[in-house]
This record gives sequence, C-alpha cells and structure tokens, in this order.
Amino acid sequence: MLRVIVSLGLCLGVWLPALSWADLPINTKLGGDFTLPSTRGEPTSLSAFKGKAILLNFGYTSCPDICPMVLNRMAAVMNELDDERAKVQPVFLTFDPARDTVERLQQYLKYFGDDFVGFTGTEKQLAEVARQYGVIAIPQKSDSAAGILYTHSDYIYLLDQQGRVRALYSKSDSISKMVDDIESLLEG
Amino acid sequence: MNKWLVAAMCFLSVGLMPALAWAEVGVSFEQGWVRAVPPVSSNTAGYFKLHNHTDQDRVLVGVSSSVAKVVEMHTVIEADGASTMQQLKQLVVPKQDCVLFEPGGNHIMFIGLKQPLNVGDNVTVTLAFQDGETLDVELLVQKGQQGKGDAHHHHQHH
Repeated sequence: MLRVIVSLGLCLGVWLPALSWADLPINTKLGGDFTLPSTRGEPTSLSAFKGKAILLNFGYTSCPDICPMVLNRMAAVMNELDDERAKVQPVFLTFDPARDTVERLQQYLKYFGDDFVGFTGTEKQLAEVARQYGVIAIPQKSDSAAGILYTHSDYIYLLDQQGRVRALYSKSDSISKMVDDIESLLEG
Repeated sequence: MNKWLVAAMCFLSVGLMPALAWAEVGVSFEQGWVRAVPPVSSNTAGYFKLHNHTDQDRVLVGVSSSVAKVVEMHTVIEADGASTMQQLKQLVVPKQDCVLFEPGGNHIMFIGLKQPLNVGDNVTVTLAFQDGETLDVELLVQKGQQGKGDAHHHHQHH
C-alpha cells in the first residue's frame, strides 16, 4: 500500500508540473541573453532579471498604432497581476535607435508602468538581438510625414525565470490567457 | 477583417444609431476615439466608423486637425508575420455601406502633436470628401481596448 501511495505521489509530483507546463513548452530556437544600454541608466543584461518571469516586446516609440497598443496590452497584463507583479519584469526593446535614446525610452515607458525597462543600442547590437528572437523589423521609406516607419512583427514574448522563451502572443491572444500563463509559470 | 464581419458590424451600428449630424453629407460617424499615448510621443492614431447612407460611393480624400502638424490616413497590411503601414491617399466609403478605422487596420495618423493629449480630451477632426464637402467630427482621447474580448474582462485570481 505504501508503495502505491509513494508511486502515486511520485506520479503526481512528476505529472502536475508537467501538466501545468504543457501549454508552455521551452522554445529552444528563440531567445538568449544580451547586454545593452537600458533605462536603468547603465548597460543591463536580460539575465539580471533571472528569477522573474519576463514579458518582452520589440517596437519603436514613433509607431502610432500597433506598438502603443501592444504596450497597453503588456500594461494591462501587469495590472492584472496585483501581488505577483513584482515577480514579472516588463521589457521593451527598440529597433529604432536613431530616434529612441535611453532618455526618450525612459519618458515613454513610464507611461505604461514604473517597472517597465527599455533597451536600446547600436543598430548592429539591436539587429543581433532581433535575430536571436526571430523579430522582423525593416525600415520603410515612405511619403509619410512620419518619416521612417517599420514593417515589423509584434509578438509579446513570455520568458520564464531562467530566461527561456515559453510563449509568444499575438494581438488576438487575450489578456486573461497571458495572465493565466504567467501565473502557471510562477506556480511552477 | 472578414468582410461578412464588417458587414455585420455595419448592420449592428445601424440598429444602434445615435443622434448624428450627418444629414447634410449623407455620411454618419460614430465610435470615434484617439489613442492616448505617453506625453513624449509626437504621433498617435485615431479610429472611427463611417457610414455612407447615400446611393453613391463617397471618397474620403483628406483628414486634418489643429492638434497635429499633419494628419494622414494609413492602413496596416499584415503578411508573413509582420505588419506594414501604408499611407492611403483616399478611401472609398461604398454606397449604403461603412468602413472601419480600427487598431491594426485603417487608421488616421496624427503626426507632430502640438501638445500632449490627455484621456478625456476631445479632438476635432475634419474629414474632406472628393466632392468638396467636409464633416467635422469629435474623437475622444482614451486608452482603448487591450485585446479581443477584454473590454470588460476581470481576471479571477486563484
């Protein structure tokens, strides 16, 4: 009988975390650490947030439509977390370093939350991070008075406490799904 | 967006038609809003729904507002996992039909905001049609919905 209980316990112990992670497989093709100038005022590594889940997004502050919408979605997720907010780090990387300085990112991101951290860098540095994460960001010439606009992907990445990519969210994914996934990671 | 969905949304709004000042130009305007953005932002976007109640196509050829140096019409084209903004020089509002300006789709772009817009502000925009008629409309500055089905979402913590 004891053996059965122990076996059952082992099974549960093995399977419960596996079940809770079932929808969040580790993405082995995307991700990785980087060190870049940040809104913290000094070069910061993504790995500095080890131990926290990370919500990561790429964009540019001159973007009038999609980027602020996606950042609003990240802010909504963070606001839903309440007490667990401190366990999650929202991060924004620009792919427009010519316009997005550290100072501009500081002014821009605090609107979405005081805990948002922004990264910029040289074009080469940011292109390398974009490659790591499979981000599309192509500057487009146009007649628009807005100047350079980017063709870009707009996923929100969820990274676990070890910095591994666990999920990508498109604009059609709900806030509640992202919150549930984060809570699943934090409980795991 | 699926054209049947657009048609359904047009139909729905006819049923909910508020009092509108559209009789003169035959085009009604509703659900207008401007995305609230950080004060440091010089650009933002505006959205609304336009109904053409006449039996002739109406062509929107320009938008303007005193709150920005330039206002343009843009649309978003999604392909291969990326979005591209493309400026529209004109947009046809088909007869007895409507067009939507919405996040991730058609939108008007305010470029070079002269001062930060605050949530709750009203922004006047002038829509210019090909036949020379104009329509002044009011857009409310707000943060906007975060995603599909989240407008009234309240997460239950466990």
